[in-house]
Amino acid sequence: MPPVFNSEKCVRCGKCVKDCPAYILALDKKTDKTPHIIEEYKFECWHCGNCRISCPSDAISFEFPLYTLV
Amino acid sequence: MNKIQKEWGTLYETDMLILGTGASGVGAALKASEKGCEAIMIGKGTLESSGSLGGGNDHFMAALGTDEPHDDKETFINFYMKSAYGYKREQLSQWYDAFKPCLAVLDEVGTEFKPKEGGGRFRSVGFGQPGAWWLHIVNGRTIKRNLAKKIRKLPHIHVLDDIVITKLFAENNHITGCMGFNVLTGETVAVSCKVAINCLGWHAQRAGNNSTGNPFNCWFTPFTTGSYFSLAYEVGAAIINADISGRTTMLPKGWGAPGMNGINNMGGHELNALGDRFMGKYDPMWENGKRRNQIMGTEQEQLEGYGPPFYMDMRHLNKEDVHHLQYVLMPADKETYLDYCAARGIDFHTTPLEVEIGEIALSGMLLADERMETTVKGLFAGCNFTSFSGAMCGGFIAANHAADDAKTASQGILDDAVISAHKAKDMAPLENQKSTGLSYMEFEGPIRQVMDYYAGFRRNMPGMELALKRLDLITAYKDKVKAKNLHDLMRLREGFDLLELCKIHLFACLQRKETGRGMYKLSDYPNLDPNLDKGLAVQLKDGAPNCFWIEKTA
Ligand SMILES: Cc1cc2nc3c(=O)[nH]c(=O)nc-3n(C[C@H](O)[C@H](O)[C@H](O)COP(=O)(O)OP(=O)(O)OC[C@H]3O[C@@H](n4cnc5c(N)ncnc54)[C@H](O)[C@@H]3O)c2cc1C
Ligand code: SF4
Ligand code: SF4
Repeated sequence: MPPVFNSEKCVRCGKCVKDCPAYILALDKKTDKTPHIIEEYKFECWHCGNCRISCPSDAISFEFPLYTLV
Repeated sequence: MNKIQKEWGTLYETDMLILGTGASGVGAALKASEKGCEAIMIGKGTLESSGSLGGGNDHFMAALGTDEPHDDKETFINFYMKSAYGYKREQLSQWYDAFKPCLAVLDEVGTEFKPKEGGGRFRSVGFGQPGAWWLHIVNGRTIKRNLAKKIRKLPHIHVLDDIVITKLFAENNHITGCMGFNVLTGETVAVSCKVAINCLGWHAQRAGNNSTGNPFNCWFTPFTTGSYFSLAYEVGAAIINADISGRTTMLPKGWGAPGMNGINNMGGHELNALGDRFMGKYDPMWENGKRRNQIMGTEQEQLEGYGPPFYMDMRHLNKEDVHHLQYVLMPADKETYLDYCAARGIDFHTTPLEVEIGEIALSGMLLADERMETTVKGLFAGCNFTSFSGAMCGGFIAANHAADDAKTASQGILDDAVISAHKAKDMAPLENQKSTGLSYMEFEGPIRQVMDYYAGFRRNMPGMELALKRLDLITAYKDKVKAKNLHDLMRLREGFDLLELCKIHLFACLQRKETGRGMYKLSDYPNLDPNLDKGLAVQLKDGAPNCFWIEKTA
């Protein structure tokens, strides 16, 4: 489900979390290798791509939910 | 700007309050700063990414007064005077005058427009307009970032991100301020002002579903749900065209994304399931006519069984245009467009794009005078014009007048006891953890259930009366809602404002006994009534909605 984070590339800057207008991303800098989408709210993602626009290290790709493909 | 710590939270004092940080808020901030007016911009999300402009836009509309056909002010004004009731020639004249300064800012922050062969900017015709007014933007995905960078450095402008506005205040029919809460910290924030620009967005989403059943998977930003209307209505602003301004678009199948303006104006053909191009039956300009006609036409084909599926076919266009559409315009319009294409194996060169009729977005305008001042003194309408250009220029011209008035208006006084009482009400869902309490989706879902069922493209008066009663029932559940956290609390507020706008919409629709001006057909009033060629306004009077007609102006 969008977005998908690449742990090799992510520098854990938190910019994607800050700029997500849905407030559905989280990053615990102490424990997380990358941000994650909060499972309970993932359906609120409107695929605006703001997380990726904010990302300085090209660490975000998108996987489209099944309901957008049928 | 003053910042004062209060027992209930933080109070800010400013001359101008800009409600909302989307394209319209940006326009307002630019003008406020230019005029040296101290302003606070306040809204949900961050300025960099909020609103419909956040993830990209690929067109900016501007008639530029060149010697190209129909590029003059008069033609522009005449076109828009016919598009909605309540516009005044002076308003549209100011919109036209704002094109050049707004374009200059877009140029300054690095917006790239598609050049025209032989010099100048390329423009195309859209939405049944007489002139080629739509400039093509190549790097649309970063417009909002670039504008935000400028605004954060502007003198006199202060940005308060992450604030959900829950209430406007007015005293003696003059705006005094607003309050809300910080969605990250929960802190209550209030702003007292001399004047305010309402830039909360005129397209309310989540009033209905598309085929996916996910209300957040929609065309415009799903986080704009009607506060532009509901919050202003509550303090006495009159709303016009709530009955007929609902609109939608054709979506790529299963996905809430725009882009149809680019596809239509570059010459895409809409096909039904039999492979027939049919739009000529519904609009003399075919696909590139009025969007309402494209939707109503597609809906008619669907009822007659000629679809789904429906397609937009671009295969006949020249290779360069198709490439420009898919690889320049579409990702400039929505950042993730090419990911969607990759996931579905879409190539505009070889395969028609499957499309569907999108969800209905509710809309309307705040009734405003020549200076964009609403029926509430000191409260100006920033989102009364359409699209990116209308939003940015609309904020810009509203702030022009508001800044003048701020010189003589007095500072709004907000009552601590009133704010504390509202804070308790705002936060109450966090205290409610009963198993019978309604989550935000349990509260909001039934609104769509009612609207989709009784207030779709085909309706009747008894159905809408029943719908209004059902919405009243949902209203009675407002004090049964619960929120686990601030995120849920924010969504609940969005649901409350959505509910209010749906009620205003239905109330207005029940007064308009005809078919043909809105995006729906009434089975009990199937014909256009020439006597109803006028606007309908709704205003709260003594706690109840009250309607009045606005005669058309030439
Ligand atoms: C993906 C996409 C592509 C588009 N492409 C084009 C295009 O190419 N050309 C074009 O002309 N138009 C386009 N549009 C339309 C255009 O972007 C919008 O018309 C315009 O941006 C609207 O701006 P606005 O400021 O009026 O409203 P919005 O963008 O809705 O901004 C309103 C702001 O107010 C905030 N807000 C609302 N309620 C509250 C509240 N209660 N508390 C706090 N904050 C609140 C919202 O979060 C938001 O930031 C597109 C729209 C989308 C979604
Ligand atoms: S695409 Fe938009 S809504 Fe979805 S996670 Fe990224 S920033 Fe948030
Ligand atoms: S913006 Fe990119 S680098 Fe920064 S935390 Fe997010 S994914 Fe990682």
